[in-house]
Amino acid sequence: MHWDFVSVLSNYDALLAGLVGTLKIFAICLVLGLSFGLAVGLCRYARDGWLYWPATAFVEFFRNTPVLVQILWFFFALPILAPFEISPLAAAALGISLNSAAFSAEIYRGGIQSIDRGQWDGARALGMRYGQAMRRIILPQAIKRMLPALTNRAIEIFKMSTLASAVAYVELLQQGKLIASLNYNPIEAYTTVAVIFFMLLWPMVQLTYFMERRLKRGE
Amino acid sequence: MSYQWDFTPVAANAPLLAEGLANTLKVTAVALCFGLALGLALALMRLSPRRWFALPAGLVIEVFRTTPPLVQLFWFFFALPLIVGIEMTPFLAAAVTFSIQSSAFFAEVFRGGIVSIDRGQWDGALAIGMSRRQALHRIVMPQAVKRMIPAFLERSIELMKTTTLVATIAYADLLYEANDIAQKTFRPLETFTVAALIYFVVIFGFSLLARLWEKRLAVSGEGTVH
Amino acid sequence: MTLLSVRGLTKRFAGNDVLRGIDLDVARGERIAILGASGSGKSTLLRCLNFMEMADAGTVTLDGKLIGRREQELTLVRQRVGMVFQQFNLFPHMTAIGNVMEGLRTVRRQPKHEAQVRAERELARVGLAEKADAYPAHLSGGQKQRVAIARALAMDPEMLLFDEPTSALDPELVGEVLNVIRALAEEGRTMLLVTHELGFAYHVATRVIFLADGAIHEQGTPQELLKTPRKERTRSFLESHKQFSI
Repeated sequence: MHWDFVSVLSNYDALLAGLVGTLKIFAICLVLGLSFGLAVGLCRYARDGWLYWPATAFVEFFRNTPVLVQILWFFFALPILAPFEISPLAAAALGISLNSAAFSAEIYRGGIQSIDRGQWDGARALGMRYGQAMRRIILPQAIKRMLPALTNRAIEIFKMSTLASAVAYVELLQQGKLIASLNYNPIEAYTTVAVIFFMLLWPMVQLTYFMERRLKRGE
Repeated sequence: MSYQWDFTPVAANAPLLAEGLANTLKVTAVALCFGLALGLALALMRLSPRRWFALPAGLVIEVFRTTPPLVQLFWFFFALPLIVGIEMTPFLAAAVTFSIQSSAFFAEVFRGGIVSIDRGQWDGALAIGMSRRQALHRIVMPQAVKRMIPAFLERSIELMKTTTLVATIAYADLLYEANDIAQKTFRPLETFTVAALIYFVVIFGFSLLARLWEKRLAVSGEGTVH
Repeated sequence: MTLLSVRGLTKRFAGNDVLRGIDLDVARGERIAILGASGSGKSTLLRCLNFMEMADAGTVTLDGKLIGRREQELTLVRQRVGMVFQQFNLFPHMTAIGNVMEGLRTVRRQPKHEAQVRAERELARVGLAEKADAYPAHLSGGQKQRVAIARALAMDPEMLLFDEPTSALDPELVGEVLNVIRALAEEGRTMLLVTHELGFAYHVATRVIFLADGAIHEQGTPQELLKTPRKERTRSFLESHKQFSI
């Protein structure tokens, strides 16, 4: 069996373009997903607020439908309703971000709920309003606990970036497909893509383990 | 809103959608069965004191958890057939990919469950002369399985969502059929909306069942008779 | 009639010498109480005798035969040397009688009814016949420990190892367990008993060993060691145990 990685690596500029695309969509979805997720999570936390039910509906819907379906809906269905163009990046980013927001909302909610009631009492006793207590006392403590789960979410977002290839967005897997079809070397092409992803994600996974261990020691 | 919604073309293609759904469930079921079996094997290998069991198992688990499922699917569908020299249908590629992929996650659930059983249970079993295998089989696993069920249910539902990726390699699952119908009928909005809703109903349904099952487990507490 | 013979037993945990070259002979029918401060190696010694821990050096000879390291041999040893734990280690997913039967069914491969008859007898022996169908979660600490003893007895062990059997019990439950152990002693069973119950050791043991820093510091009859200890360390240990006597 003769493996030929040269033909893959000679296309390094294509791979680089793919890498840039992957990192771009990862960054967008990470920021949008985790920040919108925080907003939704706060709505879910306030059980008697009027945003609770819409937030719950959002979370249940986006957690219980596959991301690929969401991406294709945004790419093919939304343009019918919307007056503007939906680029592959926009469709994929919307799908992945909303999906991640739904999952991270639950992480936030769980993390905030895990903070002892007494902390609220202490904050209120000092005269803090709900928003101040949340921002200065509760969230800072909760974030520490949520870091492993949130890092996991980040890893999942990174992996989900490959789904953007379904709408021909230029990221690593898409470039892998391109190289494979041009050079007739799917083995080397896809193995290379897999190895690149592994090298990118492995440090993140190790970071999660490290944080989980530190969290356990601190508790 | 000047757009006229029209669901009749979608309804006319309902049988195709139903077939797609059946295929989705088929792939999920196959991957689930093999994934669980392989996951248990990997977990036990990982827990083994013998390094040439533990290390390969650990490697498989890490690789399949640290690479995107879609990349794995493409690799198994396009690359593996050339290496091994066999015909690879989309279904087979999907079955193999998702069996191994889910097994990597199941292995961690198994391992976590087994490790969570108090060491004293091993002591008690070994002290009456059981071999490690008997202790695992009679004493540790029965207790561990109960604890692992919530995580398993969660992973299984995850699997149901992950298998939609097969649409990208032209396997006729629900999403693939929906895409096909959308292009044929020029009604992508209605078609994809219906598809999304079907997915939601099915997956949310299973999710609710899983939550009910967990509640029942929490209530029942201890005890399986001999 | 030496049943168990130990020579030069050594065990290290994370750089600490927990057992330093222990030599011990146990004759049939002997009841040996092992005393010592925490960290003196008492539990480790016991666990090395039924190979729940593997010693780093030294030999264990059971009934004249040197015991090797093969797992198959060790499971056979554990069938002949029973152990009762401080934390009971009952199997929570089985009833009391299920627990007692488990060894007979899984290890001895006895049919269910045969194992059940034997298990009922052992439970009756420890005074828990009526609790046969109860799950461990519904038993008191003393009852759990008695079931654990019945479970060990069902295997017809030639020797019993008790690792602080009453240390995890509320004081008023200690007596019921000690009575069971005393009855076993009176039957002439060979046993090693790690315990803090000095009074019990005095009345039931044939020999008392005081362990310090992983070595046998002093040993003798209960009369000798408990009433007239020769060494200073033994004396201060016993003193600290009698601080709040009535």
